[in-house]
Amino acid sequence: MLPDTERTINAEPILDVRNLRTHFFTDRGVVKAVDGVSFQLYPGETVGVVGESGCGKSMTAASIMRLVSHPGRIVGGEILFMGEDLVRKSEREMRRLRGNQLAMIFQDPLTTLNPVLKVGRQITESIRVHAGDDREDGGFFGWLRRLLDPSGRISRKEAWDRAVDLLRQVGIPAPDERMRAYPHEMSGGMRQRVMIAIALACNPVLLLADEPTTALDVTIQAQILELMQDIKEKRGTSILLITHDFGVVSEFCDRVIVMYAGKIVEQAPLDELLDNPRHPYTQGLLASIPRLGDKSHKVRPIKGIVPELHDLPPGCSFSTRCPLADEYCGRVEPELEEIAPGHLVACHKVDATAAGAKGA
Amino acid sequence: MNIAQVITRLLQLIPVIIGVTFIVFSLMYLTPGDPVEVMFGGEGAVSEEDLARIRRELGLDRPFFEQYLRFLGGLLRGDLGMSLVQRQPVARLIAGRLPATIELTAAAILVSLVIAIPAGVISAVRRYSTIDKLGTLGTLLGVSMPDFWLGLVFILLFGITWKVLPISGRMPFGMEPEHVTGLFVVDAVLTRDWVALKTALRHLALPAITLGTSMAALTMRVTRSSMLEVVQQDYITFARAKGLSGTQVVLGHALKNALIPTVTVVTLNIGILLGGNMIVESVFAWPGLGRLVVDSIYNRDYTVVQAAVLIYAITYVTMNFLADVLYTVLNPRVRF
Ligand SMILES: Nc1ncnc2c1ncn2[C@@H]1O[C@H](COP(=O)(O)OP(=O)(O)OP(=O)(O)O)[C@@H](O)[C@H]1O
Ligand SMILES: [Mg+2]
Repeated sequence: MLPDTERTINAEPILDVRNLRTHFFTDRGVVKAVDGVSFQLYPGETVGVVGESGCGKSMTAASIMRLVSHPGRIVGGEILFMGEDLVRKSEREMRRLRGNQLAMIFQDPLTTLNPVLKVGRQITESIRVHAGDDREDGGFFGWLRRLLDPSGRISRKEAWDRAVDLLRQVGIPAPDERMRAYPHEMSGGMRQRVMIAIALACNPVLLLADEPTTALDVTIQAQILELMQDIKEKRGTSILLITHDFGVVSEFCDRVIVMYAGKIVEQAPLDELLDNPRHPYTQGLLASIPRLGDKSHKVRPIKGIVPELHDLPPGCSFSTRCPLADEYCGRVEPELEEIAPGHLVACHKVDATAAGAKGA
Repeated sequence: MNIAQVITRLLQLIPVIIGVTFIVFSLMYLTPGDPVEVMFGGEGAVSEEDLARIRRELGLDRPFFEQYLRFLGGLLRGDLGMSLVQRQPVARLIAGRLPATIELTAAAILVSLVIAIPAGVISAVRRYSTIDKLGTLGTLLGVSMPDFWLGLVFILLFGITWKVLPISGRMPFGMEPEHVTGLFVVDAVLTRDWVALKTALRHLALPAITLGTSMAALTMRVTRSSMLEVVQQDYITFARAKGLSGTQVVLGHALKNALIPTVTVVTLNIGILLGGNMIVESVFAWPGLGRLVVDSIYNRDYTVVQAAVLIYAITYVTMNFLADVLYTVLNPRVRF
C-alpha cells in the first residue's frame, strides 16, 4: 500500500528526526556512529534504511528508542515523535512510550527472546507493563508497588488471553500450547513471529524493525514480510525498516534512506531510487546485487571498506572509495540537497552521476 | 530434564562411589603405622602374641582384597568400623558431629549469599561506580585473608575487645534445646525455646560470618562477571524496549540467567563445607566434623579419618550431581 504523495505531503510526520548525532566515546577516539541524520516518517508509511555494516543504521534506531548504551550517547539533534522531542524526555517518560506507541523488533529472535523464560511470560509482560502506566506515582512505595505488581488494571488471565490472541494474529498455530514453550523450542520463523507479537502488544504507532528477516532463510523471510505487510495494512503502523537487502526494500518500502558512515547520503521514493540513483555509493550498492537469471549483469562490488568511524576523511566520507572523487571531494563535505521532489542527495558530482545512473 | 534422566544420572554415581571407596581404603591400607598399636598405646603394655591375636580377630592379617570386601560390606550395613581411640562405632561419632557442621554450613552459605548476590548484581549493573570499586576491593580482601586470620580478628574484636559475642562452641553445657533434629536453631524453633535460639544464633554468628565472607568473595566474583555478560545480551535490550524499568529488567530478566553459574559454584561450595571446615571449626572450637577429623589425625585414629575422607568424597560427588541437575532446571536450553 503506497500512500499517495498528496497524503504524505499534507500530513504531519509521525517521526521527525533532525540533525541527530549519536557518538561513542571510546579509548580509540570518538566514534560518530550517527552524525547529523535528518529524515521524516509519515503516518502509515514504510521507510527503508540501507547501507553497509557499521554505517549507523542500528544506532539510529537505538537513538530513537533512547536505548543507546555506554559509551554511546546522543550528543545533539532532536527526535520529534508525534510532536514531542524524545531526546529531552526523562527515562520514565521514555519507558511509557517504549513497547507502547513506540516498538522495536530485532534481527535475531533467538538472542532477543529471553532463553530462560517461557514465551507466554514474555508476551504477557509486555501487555501488563503498560496497563499500569497511568497509576505511575513517584516515591519509594510507588516504585515498590510497580515492581511487585507491574499492572494494576489487567489480570493475569486477561493478559494471557490477549497474548494468545496476539499469537493467533501473527499466524502461530496452536497459540495456547506455544505460550508454554521456551524460545529454543520454536523454529526461527516462529520466534520472529513471537517477537513481532510482543512488539504489537500495545498497538504501536511506530515500529522500528532492525533487520527483522536477516537471520531467517528465504521462504521464512517472505512469510515474515507478508505478515508485516498485513500489519501495516490492518493497523496502519508506520515502519522504519532497517535492512541490508534491496530485495526486501523494493518489495516493502515506500521510501528509502541510504546511509554511509553515520550520514544519510541519499534519500528518495522507492521507484525513483531504483530507477535513478544519484549517489555513487547508492549506485555501487545497486550494482553489487546479483540478479537472478541475468548472466549479462556483472556484479560489481564497491571497492575498499567502510572507513573507521573515529577516523573519517575530511570532506566527503565516501571520497576514499568513490570512482568520481576529486581533490575537492576530499576537502569539502557535501550537503544533502533536493534534486527532485523528495529526492535528496549529498554529492558534489551529482550532475555527473545522472547519465551514468543506468547500466554504467 | 525428566525423572528418567535424573535416575540414570544417579545410577551413574554408583561406580564412581565404589571407585572412591576403593581409593580411600587403599590409601589407608598403604599408610604406614599399625592400627592395633594405636589402640593399645605404647610398647610393652600388651605382649606381641596378644597383638597378633587381636590383629587376627580384626581380620587385619587377611589379604588386601578380602579386607576391602569386608569394608565394603560394612559400609552397606552402615558400619564404618570402630574408632581405635574412642572405642565407639565411627558412624555414631560422625552422626554426633554432623548436625553442628550442617548448621554452620547453612549459616555460612546464607551469610555469603546475602552479601554476594546483591553486591555482585549491583556492581555489574553499576559498573565502575563507587559500589563496584568497593565490591572489588572487598572481594580482593575476602580472597586474600585466610580464614584463620579473619576468625582471630573477629574473636579479638567481638569476643575480647567488645565482648558482644561468644567465641567458642555451639552452646554452653546444659542449655541445648530438646533434641529433635540435632540442629540447635531448628530444634529451638520447633520446641519454642527462644532462649536457646538466641544463644545458638549468637554462637553461630562469628564462625558463620568468618566462613561466609570468604565464600562471598568468590560467589560475588562469579555473579558479577556473569551478570556483566548477561546485561549485554540482546534480550536485555529487548526487555528495555518493552518499556520495563531498570529494576524490572534486572530482577525479571537478567538475574535468572546470571545466577546459573552462581548456583553451580554455590552448590559445589556446599559440598566442600559439609565436610566440615577444619580451620574455622578449630578456631572457634566448633564441635563439628572438621574438628573430629583434626583430632583423629592427631590421635592416628585411622578408621575415623578413613570414614571422614569417604564422606567428603561422597558428599562432593553428590553435590556435583545436584549442581548438574540444578543447572538443567535453571537453564531450559540444556538437556543431558
Ligand atoms: N559499544 C560500542 N562502542 C563503540 N562503538 C560502537 C559501539 N556500538 C556501535 N558502535 C559503532 O557504531 C557504528 C554503527 O553501528 P551500528 O550498529 O549502527 O551499525 P549498523 O549499520 O547497524 O551495522 P550492521 O548492519 O552490522 O547492523 C559502528 O561502526 C560501530 O563502530
Ligand atoms: Mg545493525
